[in-house]
Amino acid sequence: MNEASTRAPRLPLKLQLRYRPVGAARWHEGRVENISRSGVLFRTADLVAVDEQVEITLLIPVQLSASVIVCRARIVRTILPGGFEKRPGLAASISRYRFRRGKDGP
Amino acid sequence: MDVADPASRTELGPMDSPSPIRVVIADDHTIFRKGLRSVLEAETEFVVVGEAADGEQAVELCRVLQPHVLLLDLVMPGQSGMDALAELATSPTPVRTILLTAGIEKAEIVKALQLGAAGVVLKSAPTDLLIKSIRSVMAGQHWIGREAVSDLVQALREQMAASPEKPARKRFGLSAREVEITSAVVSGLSNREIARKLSLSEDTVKHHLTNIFDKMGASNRLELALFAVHHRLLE
Repeated sequence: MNEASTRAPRLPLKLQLRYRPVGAARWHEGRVENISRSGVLFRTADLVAVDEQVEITLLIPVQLSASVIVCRARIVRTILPGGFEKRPGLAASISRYRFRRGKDGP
Repeated sequence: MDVADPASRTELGPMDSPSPIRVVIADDHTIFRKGLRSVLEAETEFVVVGEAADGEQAVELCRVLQPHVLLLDLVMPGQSGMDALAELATSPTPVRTILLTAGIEKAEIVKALQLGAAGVVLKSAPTDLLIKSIRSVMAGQHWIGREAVSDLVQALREQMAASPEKPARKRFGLSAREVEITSAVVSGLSNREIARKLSLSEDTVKHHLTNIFDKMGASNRLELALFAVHHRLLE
């Protein structure tokens, strides 16, 4: 079985997210470009270093409400701006997650 | 609004070299317009027949001067480039419009193309690329920066996915009860909370979840939530 057949499908969901390095107080804003069960690629104006551990909160729309998924992840790649995308991007590998009810962000 | 001397707009006769490509430049920055005019007029194949400082002037110049190509800034005071494009789309003016922009969202590119734009060129692009883009649109082609094409395809796919003509949503063979449980999972409820909410035993909820994961091809609750949102299962 090759890598392509085992890779988690990436979904082009345009979700808002917030993230911060573990232990940091300040949250940064980002926008998901694609996401799977194991990783997320998002655009942001604020880069952090590769290998940095980060907390990520994803806002998931559910009918008229929303739920928040809180993830622990590791930055695995930075993506330079290109074409018409003016913001750089970060790819993060999700190690664990939990659901948090309610639409209040961090 | 600057308009060239009518004499310079006269089409050349059949014995002369081919008629130059007549261009109107619309941008609110005078220095940018003048610079662009110099760049284009350094090439014998182009003649800038008019300059506009906003969308309204651009539409008017296109109506009066009938240029071959309109180089249209996207962001201008008053009527924006997109507004002008929308107006030109409903007019009989057969102008090929190339949007000039410092930056543009994918959705805006799609909208611009739907409104009839023939090309999109970043202001940071080399001048020879702009010249190539004009030649391309004059040859009946569309010009989108190569790097943007894959983004554009993605944007078109997203838009098609969101269009009302889309076929009925996939439900993956889920029963009404399974959709209900999926919704509860995505809302962040634990198995115990779902059981309490739906008056089921926790074992029954687990049994339903096993079936839901199988049908959706999801391997955990995070993936289930993402699939549910992606396929608009809960709307």
